[in-house]
This record gives sequence, C-alpha cells and structure tokens, in this order.
Amino acid sequence: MTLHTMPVTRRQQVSTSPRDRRRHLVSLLVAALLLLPITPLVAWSFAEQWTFPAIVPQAWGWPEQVWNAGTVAAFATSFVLATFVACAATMLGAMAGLGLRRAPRAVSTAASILLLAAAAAPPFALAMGATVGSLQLGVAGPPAVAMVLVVLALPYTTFVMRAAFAGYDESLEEQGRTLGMTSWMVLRWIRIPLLLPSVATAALLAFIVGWSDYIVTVLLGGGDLITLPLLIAGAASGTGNEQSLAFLGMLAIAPPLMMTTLAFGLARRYLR
Amino acid sequence: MGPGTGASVASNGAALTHHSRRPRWQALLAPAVLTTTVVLAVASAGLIRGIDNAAPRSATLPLTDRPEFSDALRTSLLLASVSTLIAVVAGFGIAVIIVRWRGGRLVAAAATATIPVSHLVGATAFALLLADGALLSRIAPISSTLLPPLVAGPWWIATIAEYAWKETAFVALVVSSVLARHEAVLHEAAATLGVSPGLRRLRITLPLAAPALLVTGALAFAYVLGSYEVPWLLGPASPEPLAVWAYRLFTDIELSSRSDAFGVAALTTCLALVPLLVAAIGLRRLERLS
Amino acid sequence: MTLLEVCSLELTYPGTTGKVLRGASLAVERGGCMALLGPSGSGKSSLLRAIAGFETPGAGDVRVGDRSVTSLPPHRRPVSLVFQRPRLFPHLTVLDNVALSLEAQGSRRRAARSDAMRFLELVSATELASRRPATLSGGQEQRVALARALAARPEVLLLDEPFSGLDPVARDEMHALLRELRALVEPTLLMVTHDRSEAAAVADVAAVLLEGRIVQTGKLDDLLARPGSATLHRFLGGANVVRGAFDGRAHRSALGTLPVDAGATALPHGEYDLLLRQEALSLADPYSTMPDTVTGVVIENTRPGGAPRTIVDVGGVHLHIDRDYGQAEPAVGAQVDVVIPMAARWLVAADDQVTTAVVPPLHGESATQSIMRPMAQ
Repeated sequence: MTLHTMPVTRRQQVSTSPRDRRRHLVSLLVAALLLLPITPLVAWSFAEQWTFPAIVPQAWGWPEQVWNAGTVAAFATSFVLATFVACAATMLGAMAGLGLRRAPRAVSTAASILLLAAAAAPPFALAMGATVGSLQLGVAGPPAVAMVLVVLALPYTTFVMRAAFAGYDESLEEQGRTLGMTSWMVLRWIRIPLLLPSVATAALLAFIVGWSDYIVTVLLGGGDLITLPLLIAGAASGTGNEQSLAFLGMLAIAPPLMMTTLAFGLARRYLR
Repeated sequence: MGPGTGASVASNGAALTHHSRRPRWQALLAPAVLTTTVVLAVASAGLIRGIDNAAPRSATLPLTDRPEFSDALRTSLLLASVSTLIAVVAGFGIAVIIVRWRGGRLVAAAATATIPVSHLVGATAFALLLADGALLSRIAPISSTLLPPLVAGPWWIATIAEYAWKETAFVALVVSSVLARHEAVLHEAAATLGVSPGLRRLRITLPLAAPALLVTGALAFAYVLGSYEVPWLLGPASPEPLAVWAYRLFTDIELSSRSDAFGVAALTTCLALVPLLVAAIGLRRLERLS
Repeated sequence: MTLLEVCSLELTYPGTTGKVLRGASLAVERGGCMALLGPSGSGKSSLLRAIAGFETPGAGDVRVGDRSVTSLPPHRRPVSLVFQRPRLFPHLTVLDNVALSLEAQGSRRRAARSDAMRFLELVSATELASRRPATLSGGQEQRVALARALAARPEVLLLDEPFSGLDPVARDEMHALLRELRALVEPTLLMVTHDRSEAAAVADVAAVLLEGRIVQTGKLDDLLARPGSATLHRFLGGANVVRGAFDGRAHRSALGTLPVDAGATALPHGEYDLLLRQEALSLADPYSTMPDTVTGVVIENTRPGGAPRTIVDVGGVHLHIDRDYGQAEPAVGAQVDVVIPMAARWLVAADDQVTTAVVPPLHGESATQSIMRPMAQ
C-alpha cells in the first residue's frame, strides 16, 4: 500500500461519535462470532469430565489418553507430508508465477485455466481416478498422495507468486546495481526481502493443503499413511471421547496457526 | 523459493544485461504445468477406465436414473448454493467492516484465525458446538421441539453453518484486500459529490468488490459441491450429497458399485467446472480494474 | 457578498507535535476565485479537507452562506472538492462518473445521463463520454473530474492543486478552461496552489497560509507590492530585503537614504526592512540623471526561472533587478544606476522571524547572501 491508498479516514479518528462506538461494538461482536466455533475445541481439550447440562467442565485435566505413540507418529507424518507439499508447491508455483508473466497471452491464459481446473476439481474425484492410475504405474501410497496434494496446492501458490511478481519493481534491482551491488547483494538485500512475504504466504497455503487433507490420503494412501486428519476422522466418527477429539483438533490447528502468525509478522516487517 | 530457483533467479539478476541467460518462460512454466497435466490426465483416465469396467450394464439402472442420483445432486446443489450465498453476502459485509469500520483490524485478525482450521477440524468444532447436549444447547437451551436437530438433522443446519463460517472468512479476507486499494479515496471522492453513504455502498463499493466476490463465490461453490468431510460428520445419514455417496460406493464390496463411484466422481467434476468458468470470467474483470 | 467563510480553524493530527492549522480564517466572495498559497506542508490541503468535511477541526467554524456546516458530513455540505489526483471511478464510464453526481441529487438514471452530457460540454469533453477512466490522459481525467464536481452543483468548489500533475501545456489549457467556466457558470472557487503564476492566471484574490495561519489576503498584485512581512515577501518570490532604520521620512540603510511614503498611517520610528520587488526595479545608465536611483557595481547576470536578472552590489547590499526583455546585459564589474521608484518602496517591521521557509545557504555563501537570493520557484 502506498501513501495514496492508505485509509485516509482513519487518521483523524480522535473524536468518537456514537455511530463509531456502535460500529466498534459490532466489530467486536463479529470478531467474537468468527472465533466462537473454536471455543468448544479449546474448552473440551482440557475437560476431563463435562456432562450435560453443565456450562463449565466439572473436572479439568490433561488428555493423557491422546498423547501416545500413535498420535505423535501421525503428527510427524502430517508434518513431513505438509512440509514436502509446501516446498514443492511453492517452488513450482514461484517458477510458474514468473513464467506466466513472461509467456505470451494465449499460453498464460491456457495455463491459468489448467491450474484453475486443478483447483475446482473435487479432490475425491482426483483421488479416485488416481487410484486406478497409480496402481498401474506402481506409484502407490505416500508418493501418489504427495503428488496429488502438490497439484491441489499449485493453483494457490502460483496465483500468489504471480501477484507478487506483478507488484515487483525491477527498477529497484537496477537501482541497486548502479549503486555497486553484486548479484548476490541484490538477491539478499532487494529481491528476497521484497518477495519473502509472498513466498511465506504461498508456502503457508500449500502447507495447509498438505496438512489438512483427509479424503486424498484416505483414498490414495493405501492404509500406510496415517496422518493427523485420519486420527481425527476416526475419533469423530466414533462416539465417546470428546476430550480426545477436541485435543486432536487443537493439535491440528497449532502448526498452521503458528505459521500464519509468522507469515503475517514477516509481511508486516517487510511491507512497511 | 528453494535453492533451485534461487540459483536461476540469482543468475537472472546478473543477467539483466545478458538477456540470453534469463530463464525462458517455457522452462519456468514447464514443471508446474507438467505435474498438473500428469495428475489430471492420470485421474481422468482412471475415472473413465473405472466407468468402463462396469458390471454388465443391463444388470443395473443407469446411474442418472437412480433416485439416489437426483437426491445427491439436489442435496449437493442446495448445500453449495445456500452456504455460498451466505458466504458472499456476509463476507461482503465483513469486508466493508474490515476496511472502513473501527475495530476492522480485529475482525481481520479473527477471520485470519479461521484459515489454519481445516474443514475437518471445523466440522468437529461445530459438532461440539451444535450437537444435542453440546455447548450451545447448554448455554441457550431451546426446546428440541422448536428447532430441528442442528447436527445430522434434516435441514443440514450444522453443515451449512460450518461451510458458511469458513467461506465467509475467506471471502471477507480476499474482498477486503481488493477494496483496501481503492475504497477509501473513491469513497471520499463520492462523498464530496454529495453521494450518500448508502448510495456509495451500492454504486462504488459493491461494483469494486464484485469481481472478487464472483471469483471467491465460484471457488467456494465448487468446493462445497465436491466436499466430503463436513457432510459426512455433520449431515444426516440420508440423503447423501455427491461426495459422500461416491465414497460409499467406492468402498462398497460390490464391484459394480465401484464403477458407479467413478461415474459419480466424473459427474461431480463436470459440475464443478461450471463455477470454474464463472471464476475465470471474474478473474479477467478483476485484472482489468486494477 | 461572502459565500464561504472560515473562522479560526484549528486542526491537529494525532501523533504529530503541534497544530497544522492554528486559527486560520478566510472569506471568499460569491462568484469569486481565491487562490490559497503557501509553502509545501503548510496545511493548505488540510484546510481544504477541513472545509470539505474530511477532517474534524479542534476549534473554529466553517460557514457557507449564512449557515454553519461544521457539523455536517461531507456528502451533506454544499461544497465539492476536486482532488490532486482525479479519483475517477474506474468501473464507470466518463458519462456515468458525471451522472453519479446528478443521481446523488435525486435525478433518475436516464435524466442524469443526458444532463451529464451538458456538463461534459462545459469542459469540452463530450467525445470522452463512453470512455473508461483508465484510457484517459491526465488532462482529460481532470477535465472529467471538474465536470463531475460541477455536476454536483455545489455552492463552493474547492480545488486542491488539481493541475500540478500536468505538463505546462495541459496546465495552461486547464487555466483557460477555468476562466471560461467562471464566465459561463460563475462558480465560487477556492483553489490551492503553490504556483504564483497559476494564482495570477486564474484567481481574483489570494490568501497566503504560513505556519498554520492565513497571514494575508488580497489581490495578488497587492500581496506582491505590499506584503505584510519579509517572510511573506520572500515566499512570494521577492528577492530584496534591506535592513535599516526609519526616521519618519526616509529609510536609512547601506543603500543610502531613501525617502519613503509612509502612507496614511504614520509608522513609528525604528528598525525596518525595506522590501523591493525585483520587477519594480530597473537599470539606468550611470551617467543619466534619473531621480530615485542608487549606484552600484554589477556582480552577476542570471536567469532564474527564465527571466533575465542582474545582481548589483550597492554599498554591500546585493540588489536583484529584473531586466526588461531586450535590455542589454550589463558587463560584470560595470557601474550602473538602479532605479528604485517611490511606489516600489515598502517597509515592514524588522522583527519578523526568519523561518525555515528561507532557502538554506549554498556552498560558500554567507547567511546574508542566502537571504538576498530569491526563493526557488
């Protein structure tokens, strides 16, 4: 955002009219509503006993039953898978984003449509179709899952990086070079800082795709791949332990949440 | 960007005066395009193959004639339409709050906080919130005779709520970032011409947001159409939306069901391509405005 | 008859030290055009925005006609602001941009669109009606912005340096357009500009905003000939400020003793600065016997802003004289007479603070010399 596009009305908000106060209240309400669904997850995670109709848990406690080798293994598996998807999709997406800008119009339109198709195609259909092919090609289980997830994440990373390159001012690099910077310095001091926030956003989106997926892993994983979403689905479809379920949900939120905060911190630092 | 691109990008920096060393667009696009094409091609081929490997056709009713098909189609379209409508309307309103109202930044933060929550986790959260005997029924006990069961009830309330929740945040974040560029200065320009706040919202803000609304709405619609986890966890046993039906057929012991599953998958994919076209048009107009 | 009146407006920005406006007051006649001059950052735009309703003043009042509008939101004030950047609505055609103003006043869509054509005619932009803002040049955009603001039928039209982004030819065209519009429609205008020549081209009167206050208003010629302070004189491009003493009849300084017509009000004796506009001075042959002259030595011939100028050292004081076109350039070192007409001699109190508005000294220049040097245009 440049000076010209910064919200001008915000500056002179020293005097708060009743209308502003009302609006502030509504904003708080909206924010609370958006966060509301997460609250039962938080509450239930540490509720050892919470029977109807109590509003607050009768007994608090750490969900020991969840914290076992299976959970840790699933967490680790999800993490590895998601990291791979993030790296691969961001790399390919960055190259594709740059390539789309340089390619002739017809090519870039066709490529964009292809990527949009990957985004719009239902994941379960892709996974089902891929099961036939993967068996034939002998690529079963984790590699097949990873590949499909990368393709599902690619449209997002490409779009983010394309927008990043569109907003990238190459003359800044020229400026650096006339000031005597080497290629390495240009990379380190100009290109990376300016592109880092977008790269972080793209990587975050891709990570979330890999981290959160259920249906592709179930259909294509062949039973070998136990990820965190599979644990959650198993706990959710059964009855009984809400505490375990809630805690698994919290575990599932934690890494992406930390990364989202990181990405935003980066964006704020570099886009000032 | 990984080390691979770093190297080529570094040489690109040095190559400002040596254009012959600049990576060409073909080399840049190839990996992503190839990967996508391979996966899409294998998947499509697999679907077609799976449909062909049917049990003797005469034995079963054609897929589209079965009552479950119209049920599934109707259910999926209903879920997608209602949740997308809510998401687009509420998302637009929240985007305006984010951009113009006091406390907007807090709302943006709250909306961003929903991104790390996957639909699966979201569904479990909504189950813990809305199910019989769950949190909401304890805080605000409304007799079950007044309201149908929210989870697994005939009105799909919990399912739609979960979709609407996540999609609203998505729409709000995208639209607010689009509006943030132009909205404030154009609002001032309109105000000084005597345009009332309501007319401003209608003639300036809404048209500016429209392409983004179109794209995000189309993407949300396509997603809900093909989504499995949420109706599986929060919806009633029947009618089944397309994805749930397809999964049941796929995991059925009967081989003929398996090929039917592929048929449903193929049909759903074709259906999801319609909003894709809409999204493509919206993207075009978005680019024209900025 | 006063149409726009600003009374002692005070404005602070949160997070900044000090006030942007410290009791600024001005009045614009109905049908008149006032130029608001001032150095960059003096608060001119803020004043305009406060009049338009986009900034809330800490104190003071804005009145249009007989009523106070300070409590009204922008869209209800009978005031329209044309911004520095055109801010046309990108999703509407030129015609619809103008029509929106009319619709805001209650016209139906079709009537608004046909009326909008008439406003486009006023600014000679009818051929742009179906174009989109992104395809227009800067000058075309500002024309449309003008038409759009006029279509809002405001009682007062505010212009915030609307032509500063245009090239000189386009700017001249816009000045001509403004003059045409004034003849046709007789709008009441308040225009912010940092360009004296623009003020001279378009406005009847000028007001100068310095350090948050309107220090002087009046016809531009009056401001030039009779500025209220040395700072104002310098801001308006005056190059000659001579410190000396006034004894009731004449000003004594390094230039010598120059009789001064103190006017109706008798000035008290004391230290005074003699302000002389370089355009009012002229060179004469040293051996002529013209009255009202001082003698000096030519130091330099320059062309600041294109006009030919000679700098003459008279008793240690550097006088700047704008030569007439066609007048020969005197040789450096030659002795010349400088004609200082009685009408050009203007006294101001010598305790005027030299603010940071003065150009800092160049390399090798003394502070005195920098004060004597004309301010950058």
